[in-house]
Amino acid sequence: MYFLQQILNGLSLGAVYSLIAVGFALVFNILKFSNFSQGGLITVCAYIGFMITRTFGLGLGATLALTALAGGVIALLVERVAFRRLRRKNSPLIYYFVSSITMGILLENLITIYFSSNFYAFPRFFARSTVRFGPFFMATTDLAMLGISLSSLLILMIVLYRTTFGTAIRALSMDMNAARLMGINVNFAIAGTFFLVGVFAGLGGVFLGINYTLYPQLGKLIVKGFVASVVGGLGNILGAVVGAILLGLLEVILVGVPGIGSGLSPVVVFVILLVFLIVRPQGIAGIIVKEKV
Amino acid sequence: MQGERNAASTPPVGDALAPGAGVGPGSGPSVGLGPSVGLGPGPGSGPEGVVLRAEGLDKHFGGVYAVRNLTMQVEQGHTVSLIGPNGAGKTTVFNLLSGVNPPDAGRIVLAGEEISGMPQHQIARAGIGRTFQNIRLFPGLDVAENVMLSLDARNRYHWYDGLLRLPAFHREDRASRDQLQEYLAAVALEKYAHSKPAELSYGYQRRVELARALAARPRVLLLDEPAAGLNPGEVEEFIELLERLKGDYNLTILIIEHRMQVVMRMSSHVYVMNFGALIAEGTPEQIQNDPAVVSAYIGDAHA
Amino acid sequence: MGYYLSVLTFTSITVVAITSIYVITGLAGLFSLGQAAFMAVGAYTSGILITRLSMPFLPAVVFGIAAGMLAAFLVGIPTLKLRRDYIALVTFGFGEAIIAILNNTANVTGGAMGLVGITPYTTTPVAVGIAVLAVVLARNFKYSRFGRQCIAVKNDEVAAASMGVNVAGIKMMAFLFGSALTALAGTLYASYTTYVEPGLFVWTLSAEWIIIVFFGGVNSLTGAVVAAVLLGTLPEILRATAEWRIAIYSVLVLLIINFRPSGIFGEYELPLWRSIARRFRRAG
Repeated sequence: MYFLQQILNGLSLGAVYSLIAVGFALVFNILKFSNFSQGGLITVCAYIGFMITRTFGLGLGATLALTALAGGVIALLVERVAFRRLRRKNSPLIYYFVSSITMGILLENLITIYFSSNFYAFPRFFARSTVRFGPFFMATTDLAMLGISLSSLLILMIVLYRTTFGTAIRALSMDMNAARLMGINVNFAIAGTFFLVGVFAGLGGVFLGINYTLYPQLGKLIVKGFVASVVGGLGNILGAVVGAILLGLLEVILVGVPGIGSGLSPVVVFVILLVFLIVRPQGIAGIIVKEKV
Repeated sequence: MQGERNAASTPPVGDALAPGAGVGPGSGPSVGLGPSVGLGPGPGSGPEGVVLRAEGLDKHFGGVYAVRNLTMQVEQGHTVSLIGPNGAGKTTVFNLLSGVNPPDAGRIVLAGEEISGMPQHQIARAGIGRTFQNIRLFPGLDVAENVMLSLDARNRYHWYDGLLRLPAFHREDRASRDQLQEYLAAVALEKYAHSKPAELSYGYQRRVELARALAARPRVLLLDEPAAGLNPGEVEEFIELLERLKGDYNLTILIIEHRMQVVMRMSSHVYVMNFGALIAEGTPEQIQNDPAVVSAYIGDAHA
Repeated sequence: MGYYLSVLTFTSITVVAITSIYVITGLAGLFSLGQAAFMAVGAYTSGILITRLSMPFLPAVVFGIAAGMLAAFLVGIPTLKLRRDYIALVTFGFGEAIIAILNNTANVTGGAMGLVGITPYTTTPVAVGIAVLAVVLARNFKYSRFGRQCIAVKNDEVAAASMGVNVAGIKMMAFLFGSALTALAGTLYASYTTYVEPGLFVWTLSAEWIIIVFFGGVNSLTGAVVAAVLLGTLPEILRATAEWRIAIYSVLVLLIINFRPSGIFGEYELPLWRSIARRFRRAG
């Protein structure tokens, strides 16, 4: 019984992680580099969501929607400033790395400058703090996170596999030049992808803000997305979701293990990650993305 | 080690055209390429022995065969050509031979030693040298350093020798730099030792790549379309350069080339590929008159 | 006077750290987002040995460096054979893991409160001397066969391997050498401030080092050192707050990456470092 309860909690945590992991995988899938600016983007979104609720007193749904929109717009700006010119000049991979790292640091420091290093907390969104399913209890926010994360992932899958835009994105991820020759507007498709990344950063940022309170270094939780992506297979979106859920479950289980707890669970996760990389470097999805030969 | 190096570093000078004269298509030495030629004659292979042999190579990407059941061999001191229409799988063969990709099936034997399955850098050290179709010099290194890199693979000084500049570092570094001068001179690029590759013309970049491959002193040198992008005058010059280097360094060459001018003048044996498989082989004359080759290759031959 | 000496000492420690990033990122093209954690490993190892076992400075430094290299080896083994993204992602995780260990082993490390009372062995001359030594070692590395192999691997792994370069091997060597320098910077730091805490070694510090290297020019050791001195010292003297300082660096580096990706110094090196080049010319 306790175990099932923990699984439920793990799923909810994993669902939030999967929002982060998917945002990371989307960029990797197309541009084949690790987008480290996403941590900063998540931080900014968390604060924007906080400002929206505090200023307008909106509920969770409206806050999420507005934050997702704002996240999308900021992500478009990030793409414009940090990556578009590199793409046009066909720059080596290392410049994408440093550009995304710098962008992430910049966003985080802008938040620190504006809000200083104080901690803020989201207001409570629900009158009833827990929901009961038969013998199980679940925090209402956890349930909302699980439901909203899973449905937004579902919508993403529909967009990717059932729309022309999604087909364009998948074509780009296979061969950018061929896609261009086939008449796909590459800049538009990449901008669209970044908008999606921003939307997921918006959702993820608000949820992380609710879970962990707000502080400028919130973006370092992007590490959850990294671990999930490596486990799932770099650039594989479904793999990233599976990796994130596994990570959520593992963390919830580790918290209950005496001698590990929440404090040392990053250490155990890291060791497991190293071992996993030795045993199965191609990830769950089974694809090793090699650098261009 | 030292002695071996010096042996190779004494090129006769001033015979730019002489070695080339005997390797024309008509006068090439007869090549015993029947099925009777056994597998690798062992490390002590004589001048006429098979130095590189590939047997039954397969490679597919996804569901598409890029190379299918390919068997070929190269004899010591010969120049062998690999030709075929675009997309026939020629570069894939080079990638298999040099270990960029492992073959899915088949084996590759270099001087009696099976190299298929070895990591790429070990294959290079075992004696496969190569150039690339789209020149791949290191833009962050100057011309001299690009060539030095090949010499470095043979240097044996340790990390602490390098960090602390101990005598071993100075000794080997000096020896390498002497050889470097020789290889730069061989392709007449001494003046550009400290230029970055990007500052050189296309033809000069080709020569740097050649010097870099030579400096590794390969048993077999794989040249992937070395004359691509050169104008007719430069091609003629390049053939002369290659023939001279072949004589000076006793090279064994496997060459992918679209220019019939190069293939006919240089090679003693020609393999023709299409759709990943061999469709013909023989002397340049035999190939020129082979109807299968003509039908597969026409339209591409003079592109 | 004491104030300027302290700025000089901190700058020297920064130079050692930046030199390590130059080796890892500038030469080998690897991004370590947890390099600050290797500094923590060096700082805590030497700090603990000095405070708990009263070990003298020199052996404590040696153990600190060894611990940093051991950690780099463990992180490098599974990641350096794979594409470059893995080392960046995994080192980020390493940084988080190290901070978690430091926070949760309070009886040895002092936990979040930090490790106090480390003997102040690092004097200004020691720090300056070691900074010079680190730069000389990095310069020797760059102009040895190992440095050339690093640059070749950074430019084109396939071409490098077909010239006989052991790609994973040379990456490991650069990562070990770089991490040894980072850990060395950590040992100096611990024995200068006499106090270390986990919060000092967060990933933003690693990212800041990378930004400084790119500011000076990722292909120029001279540029990296000058950038370390300038960007490490100026704000200290101008009393700028850390957030503004880093935000301004970030904007500058974004401009540089977009408009002059080779950085301020490009590939320029001080002439005296290019003795090898001079010898070429003499021979030619």
